[in-house]
Amino acid sequence: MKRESVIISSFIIDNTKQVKHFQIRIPRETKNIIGVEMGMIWLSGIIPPDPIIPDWKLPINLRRNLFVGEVKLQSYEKANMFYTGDLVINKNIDAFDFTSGQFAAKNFTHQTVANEDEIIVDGNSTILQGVYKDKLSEIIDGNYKYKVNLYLWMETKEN
Amino acid sequence: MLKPIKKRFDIQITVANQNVTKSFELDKNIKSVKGLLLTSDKDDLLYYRGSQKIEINKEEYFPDNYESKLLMSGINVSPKQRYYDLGNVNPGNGSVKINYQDTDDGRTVFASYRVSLYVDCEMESGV
Repeated sequence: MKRESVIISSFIIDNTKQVKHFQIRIPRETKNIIGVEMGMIWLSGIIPPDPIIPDWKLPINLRRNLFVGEVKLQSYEKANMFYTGDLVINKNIDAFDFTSGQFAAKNFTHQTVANEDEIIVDGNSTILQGVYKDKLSEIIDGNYKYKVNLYLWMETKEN
Repeated sequence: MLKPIKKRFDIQITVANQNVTKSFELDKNIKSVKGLLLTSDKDDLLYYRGSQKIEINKEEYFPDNYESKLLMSGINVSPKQRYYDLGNVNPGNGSVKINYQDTDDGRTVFASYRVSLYVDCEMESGV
């Protein structure tokens, strides 16, 4: 029987343009690394509000998503990166939703099932190396602080 | 014959940054746990502030700090696909334990809210 487990790696970003290097220890019983997910908790600072939509709005009302940062992961057993992903605040959950005229669609009401990004990397490595680069400073002025959570899903060996 | 059944367990968060640990028990005739789902009476607070650890039969399925939003499904998802698929987990002693942590998030203002854990199970029917 296949058994899956998840490791969470968290770090705080509190400087603009901060680059964070981190390592994740892979448990001995790991067979393969099978997925990556990301999330964030906003600790302080002001996220810019959505722009006010004029009365003459276009039929498709798209807003700019907030590009928070990018993460890259590498296994010591392999050459090159095996994963690169973006942490994004989705501002367009209501786009193309026929109910959004009457009912303001939000991430917490209309999100689809949250699936991880599927990857397959051998779990024999003991440590993964990662780099996170903050990109929010290109959009926001002033100080802010947030916590990034990185979830690594693993297939584990049965005893 | 096994028949599908959904169980709901609630916890109440009354203070900001509160940690609540609660154990629930599944019925004895439940033979497998197929999935999980988290909802709330204030979805935004659960989405932005919540994280939890979940154990079934003393086995950890989601570790501490696993964000609640990853176990939520919006109304855009069809009802039969809303549960997080666990496969067929043996419920063992039937205990389901949740350790829920509320954490301040700059995008929300705290108010008391309910967290509901739905468990999708298969039950042995008597007939």
